[in-house]
Amino acid sequence: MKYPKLVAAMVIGLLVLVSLVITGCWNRREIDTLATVMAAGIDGGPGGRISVTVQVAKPGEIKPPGQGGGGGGQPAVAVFTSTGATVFDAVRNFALQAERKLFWPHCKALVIGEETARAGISPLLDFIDRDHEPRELMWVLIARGQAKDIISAEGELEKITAESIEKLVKARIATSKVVGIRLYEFRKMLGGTGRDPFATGIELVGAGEGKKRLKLTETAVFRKDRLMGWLDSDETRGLMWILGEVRSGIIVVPAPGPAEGKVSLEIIRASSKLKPEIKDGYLTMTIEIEEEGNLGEQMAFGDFTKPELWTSLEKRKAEVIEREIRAVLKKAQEEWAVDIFGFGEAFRRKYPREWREMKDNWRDLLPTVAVEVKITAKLRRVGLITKYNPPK
Amino acid sequence: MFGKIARKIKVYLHKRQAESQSLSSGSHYPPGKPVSVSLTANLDRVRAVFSDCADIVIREFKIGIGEQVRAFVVFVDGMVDKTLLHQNLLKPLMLDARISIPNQGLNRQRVQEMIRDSTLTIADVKEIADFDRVMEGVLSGDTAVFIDGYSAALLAGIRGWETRGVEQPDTEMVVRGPREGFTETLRTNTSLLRRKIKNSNLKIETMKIGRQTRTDVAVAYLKGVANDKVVEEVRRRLKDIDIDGVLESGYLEEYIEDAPFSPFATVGNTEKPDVVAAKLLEGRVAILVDGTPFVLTVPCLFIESFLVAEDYYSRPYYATLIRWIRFLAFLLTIASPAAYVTLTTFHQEMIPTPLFLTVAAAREGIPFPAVVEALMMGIIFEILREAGVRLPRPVGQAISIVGALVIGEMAVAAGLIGSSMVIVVALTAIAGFVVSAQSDAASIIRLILLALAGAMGQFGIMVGLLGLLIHLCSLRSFGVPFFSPLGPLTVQDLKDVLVRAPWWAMVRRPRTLGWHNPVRQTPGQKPDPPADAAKEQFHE
Repeated sequence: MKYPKLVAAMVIGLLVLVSLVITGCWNRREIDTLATVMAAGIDGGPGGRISVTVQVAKPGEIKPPGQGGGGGGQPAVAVFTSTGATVFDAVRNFALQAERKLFWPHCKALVIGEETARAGISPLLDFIDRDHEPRELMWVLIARGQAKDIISAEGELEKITAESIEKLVKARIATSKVVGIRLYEFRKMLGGTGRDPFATGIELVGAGEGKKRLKLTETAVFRKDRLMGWLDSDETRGLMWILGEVRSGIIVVPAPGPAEGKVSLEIIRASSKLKPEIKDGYLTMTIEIEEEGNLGEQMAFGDFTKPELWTSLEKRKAEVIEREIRAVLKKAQEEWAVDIFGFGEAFRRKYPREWREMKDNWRDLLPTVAVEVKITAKLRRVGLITKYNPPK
Repeated sequence: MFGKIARKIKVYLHKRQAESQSLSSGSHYPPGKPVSVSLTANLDRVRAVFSDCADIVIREFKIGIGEQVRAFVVFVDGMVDKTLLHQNLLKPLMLDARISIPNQGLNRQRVQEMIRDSTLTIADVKEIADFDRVMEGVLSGDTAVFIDGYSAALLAGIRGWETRGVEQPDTEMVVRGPREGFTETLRTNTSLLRRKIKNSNLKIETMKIGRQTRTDVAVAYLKGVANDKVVEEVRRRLKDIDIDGVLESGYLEEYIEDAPFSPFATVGNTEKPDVVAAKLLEGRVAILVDGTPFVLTVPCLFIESFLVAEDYYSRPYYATLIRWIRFLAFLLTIASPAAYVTLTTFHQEMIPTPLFLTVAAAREGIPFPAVVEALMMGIIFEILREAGVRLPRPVGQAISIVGALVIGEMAVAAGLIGSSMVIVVALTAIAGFVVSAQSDAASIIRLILLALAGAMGQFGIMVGLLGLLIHLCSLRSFGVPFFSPLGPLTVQDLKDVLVRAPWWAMVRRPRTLGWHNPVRQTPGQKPDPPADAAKEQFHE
């Protein structure tokens, strides 16, 4: 009995040792052998070739070891462009020019060129979804022009352009005039029946003296995976109202009553409800918006806290909201027949049986949906001063 | 597995011990040799026993006048209080005895009695007939008086030697609480305990361990509170010990612990009487060893390492908070280098991007892999610590400067070590001192986890931590599960584990120590001043 136990103990010990060794080092990479991709752009090239541009952080330039000072004016990022027959091919071809292995999990943004997007972006996303390194959390942006130019651009305040892009997208809450879509959200919209995706538009605008600066401008609207067109700021906010995504923003209305000038109303919170209905074969969609806001500024004289002026401000605000909603409906629903609002989804939930017949010709039905907009817009507070009178 | 091996070895050792005991039984002091009636014979024997012992003093003298009785005292120079010896032993015998003992007409036996009962003005006088026990007493510091014609010797307990005073122990500092610590003298230590627990239930049993050193060892426990079985087990394990010498309680610890191959100590030790008293009150047994201020306590649970005397002296809220900090610190000290290595070499995607870039910047151009870097820094830290402990204080300062400046700053500036690694190692080191009772175990576990992390990443750390947990749960200390009351869970005892409940809420003694007399105070003593009284006071 003595020896078998000893043998067993030795075997177990050996197994532990072996398991330590055979795991090998396939996944063991020192941090300084990695090229951290911060943002990636995909463009189509001539002859159906794919061109991928990546922005790689240079940690040594961000914070050189030991010293506290900056990187001596050196850019904190390096930009590489590689081409290949497919996305994966192009990505692998980076090994020909980038000294370190690309490391994708920290990639913040995926930018796709406008032209490429018009040709359909589904095939481009396959690699990014399939590979284990890139994350589904990256922001999807559509470049006005070439994605490569966006990736190569320099941020103004941030050393890394990808950080600038991410911060811009995250700041959308302040205005609700641009959207922010992560890759998984884009995927979800792309995969939903009768649903069409949209994504943030980004472009380079002049900043004087030949300088260019990144700016989020419009919203790219897709029909399935092909870029259809762009929504401007007001239309984008219309879309956000319908989706219930408005968090904050400024609504400017003309001053009520005898006063002349404009009043800014700050949005504090908003929500929306989609109520689909099928009546006598006609499709109607009721959008109920509930909005609350404060009086944030009046560039007009007067005391708007008087009840009649107050309610008239609320009314004007509701009108603006409705105008924005109508604008996006006109463009997306009627002109392009794209369902970026999730109307189809709402119908499917409420009328699953009818939806089965509707879904195949949903694109034809969508423009016929009569949309009714009900807006409850409330004003709550006035800030630190109640009225603003002309100087005496 | 280790437990089994350990048990086997224990059985083996036990057998060998029994053998060697039978071989060497009474090798030093064969029992039963009586003190001779003849003074000359005794004198010769004493001289023979203490031949070549320069520190032994033998003083011959005569008692009485006229028909004088010959006698001699023997003692170890330096272990006897000379004043007492002169004033209360030699002076009465040589001078006062002339008055109290009549010149003649007394038989010798009567003289002994007179001397014992009415001459020696010393409280602790024993009459011992066994010659070897007399010698043992002399070696322990007693003074032996041999009188002609008397077949026994008188052992006078007038010990007195140079001792260190009762000082604040360096190992366990407190802000609030008693500052006294044990000393190297067993008697002083037992008196410190007795002064805390003035109760006849505090039993202190003594025995001698060590063939050569004959070290006094005392077992202290509270009768009726401590589990009798545990006390019996302590006695048994101590009795089985047969070694040459016991110079520190650590010698005994290794002979009585349950898991000799575990990095964790299953026997606790402390230098503070109040801590020992608290443990006795909870039903533990203390083992005091002459010659060391470190007192062993058993059973010892893992959680005891995280409890500090001060927890019980300060109010419960901060005590609870700081206890959680200690848990965190222990986790940090064993796992943070390993976590740093896995995060930077296996799971770079788990680090938030800004931190990732900072760490990457720090690692830029470092010639070693992260795991080697961590190992190097770990070893350098242990070297620095060891040097700091061993060196004399003035030189220790130089070491800290060399350590902090040269190793820390210059290694980073020279690009040999990443600055983030320095932070990790510093954090590890500092956190290690928070749970000082486990700092030896922590150092070993840290290295094991680091090796696992370097080989297998986060998976390795998880394997290591799971192994650690399983090992902790498998340990026992004198019959009590080492990881209790967490595993096996004893909900009732959690009042003093996850939180430090207020004293009035800790009505029962720890159940894990397993004794049938659990209630230690009257329940419902929460202070509750009457609302009316307060009102009256303020409205008058």
